[in-house]
Amino acid sequence: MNNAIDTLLAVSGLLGGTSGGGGGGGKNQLIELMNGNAVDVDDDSLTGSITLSSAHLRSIRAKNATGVGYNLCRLNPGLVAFFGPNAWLETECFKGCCTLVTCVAKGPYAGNSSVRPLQQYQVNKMALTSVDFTAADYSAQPGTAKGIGNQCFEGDYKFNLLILRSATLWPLANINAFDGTPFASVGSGGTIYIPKALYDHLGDGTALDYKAATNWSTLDGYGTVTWAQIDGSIYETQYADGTPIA
Amino acid sequence: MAIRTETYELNGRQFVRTWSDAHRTVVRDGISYSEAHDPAEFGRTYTEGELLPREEWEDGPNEATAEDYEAALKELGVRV
Repeated sequence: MNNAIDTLLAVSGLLGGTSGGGGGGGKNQLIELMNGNAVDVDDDSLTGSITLSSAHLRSIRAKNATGVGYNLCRLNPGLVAFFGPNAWLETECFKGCCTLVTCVAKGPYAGNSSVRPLQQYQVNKMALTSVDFTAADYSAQPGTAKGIGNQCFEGDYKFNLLILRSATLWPLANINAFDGTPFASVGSGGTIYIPKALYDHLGDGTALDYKAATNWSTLDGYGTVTWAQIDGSIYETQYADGTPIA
Repeated sequence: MAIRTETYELNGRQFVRTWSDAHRTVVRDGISYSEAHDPAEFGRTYTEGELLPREEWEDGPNEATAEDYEAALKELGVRV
């Protein structure tokens, strides 16, 4: 995507670390888009934990970023798409972002408390439909209390596609992560894509079985989740937003 | 303060809900959960972990309500 940016000011290190540790100590970059003409940012030089701010930002593509800073979305009220396959989502980074449709990220940042990266303020007014957690191994997640935390997707009432690429089963801290989504007990249902190696374990009761896993098994009990395997699907070669996987 | 459990049925399947009445996480195999729901047939057991942040304390049967406090005060002879 082209950046129709008149003036771009990058200030490195100003923020000095986001809440939660910044996912590995990378630089924080505050990029202030001047003049209000930019709608898309596509920048491979964005690294570390990023914080972007613009009232006109529509999409962010930052394939080398390693983190998405606290409250990013509050600074970008019109954001529709985020592509950051190497970025861990920090505390409440997209909380309340009612225009976000797709999110491709490594996964949520872990913490002693939940970080609610995709929780919404206003139920039934959200646009998020698909999330792709690209981490090949969830245990690389920075922070303590590994896993998908409380209320992670709460309120995303259109959210019906989740891709979990981790070869090891993502822990789910609380079933309330899916409250107010189509995966909830009264929801219309959604699909979760997982690697074939885990898909093959569905229903066998082993530690690799999402249908038997703590809290995930509740989704299965609701009957609102359709499990599918990434291998052989379109998501084997592309991310949830359609970006080809290199 | 203890690990609490309750069994319930969901679409014909038995589940066990496990939580801490001390507002702590419950831990199994090194993984922390704020609340655990498991198929009953696995008989999973948990230990208490770290204290949950205050904003994550859920109201429940172990959480005193305003009415509980009023009742307790009345027992002590306090007019409320």
